[in-house]
Amino acid sequence: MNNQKKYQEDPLRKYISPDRREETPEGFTSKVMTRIGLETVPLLEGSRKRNLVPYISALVIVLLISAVFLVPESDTDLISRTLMSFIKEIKISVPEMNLSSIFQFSMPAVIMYAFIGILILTVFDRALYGFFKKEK
Amino acid sequence: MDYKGDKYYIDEILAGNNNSFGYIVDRHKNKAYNLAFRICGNHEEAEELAQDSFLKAFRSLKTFKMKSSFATWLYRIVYNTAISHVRIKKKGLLSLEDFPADATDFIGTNSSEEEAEQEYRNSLVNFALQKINEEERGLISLYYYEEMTTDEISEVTGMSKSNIKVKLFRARQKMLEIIEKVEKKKLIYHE
Repeated sequence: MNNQKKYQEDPLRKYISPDRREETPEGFTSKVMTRIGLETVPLLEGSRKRNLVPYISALVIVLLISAVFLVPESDTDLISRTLMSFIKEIKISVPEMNLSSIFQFSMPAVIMYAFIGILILTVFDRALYGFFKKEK
Repeated sequence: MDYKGDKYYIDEILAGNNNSFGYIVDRHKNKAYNLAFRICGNHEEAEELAQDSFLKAFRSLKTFKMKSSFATWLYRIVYNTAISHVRIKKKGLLSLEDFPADATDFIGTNSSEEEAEQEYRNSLVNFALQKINEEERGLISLYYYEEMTTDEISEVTGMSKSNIKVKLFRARQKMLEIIEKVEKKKLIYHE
């Protein structure tokens, strides 16, 4: 189709000149390359970290399965007995706390332990949250 | 330096030489930027959109199967990026009053009357482009400025050829109506 016929059929072509191009801003390529440079390093590190998880899980599963086959039954029994006796021997002694003199009112000691437990768990939770946030 | 072809540089990048992407950006930046500009109608946003599109292309280069040309694939990314950007950030409609009535408004310090007329026409088209929807802007841009066939546009947009033809026809009619209105306003201004 020649140009004249094109223009007759399509009056919009009278207004549009395809040669008319907007100039790409200066330094466009270097800006793109800088962004690529900034993005690729963390992307690769992130994927490496993420990829370790299935490998570790697979390793643990393989170890457990091989333990079932490789450790003799008598040894398993020995291990479990040793473990149970160790657990039985653990003696937990919690110091008696008397905070009633501080707060000037009596409170069951178990509530105080619960509070301390919650505080410890909160600290752990914050630490774990910070760790996983960094991982992301 | 002679451009060795998209495939050469893509292979280089996939082999780990990220710097080769610079050659690809240099080669295609004008087309990507112009398509983004015609869809969003703003230079700053167009630059951002074109950059984002190149980044997306870089990230998904592994998935590029070379079934279409790299340019067509990149166009698809730019088109989709720009269209979704405009859809999210819908602008207020321009009124006819926003367009200068006289071509002399376009005469710069060093330009002739002919250049001013050309500038006026370009601005008129850009103005009309901003009055149609983003999808139509994309189609007009690909068809008139990039001079693509409906087959090629279909590859970029994912629309059927018949749909493209219908939408192009409507967009063309809308633009001509707007241009006519502005031209009438210009005549009234001169009377």
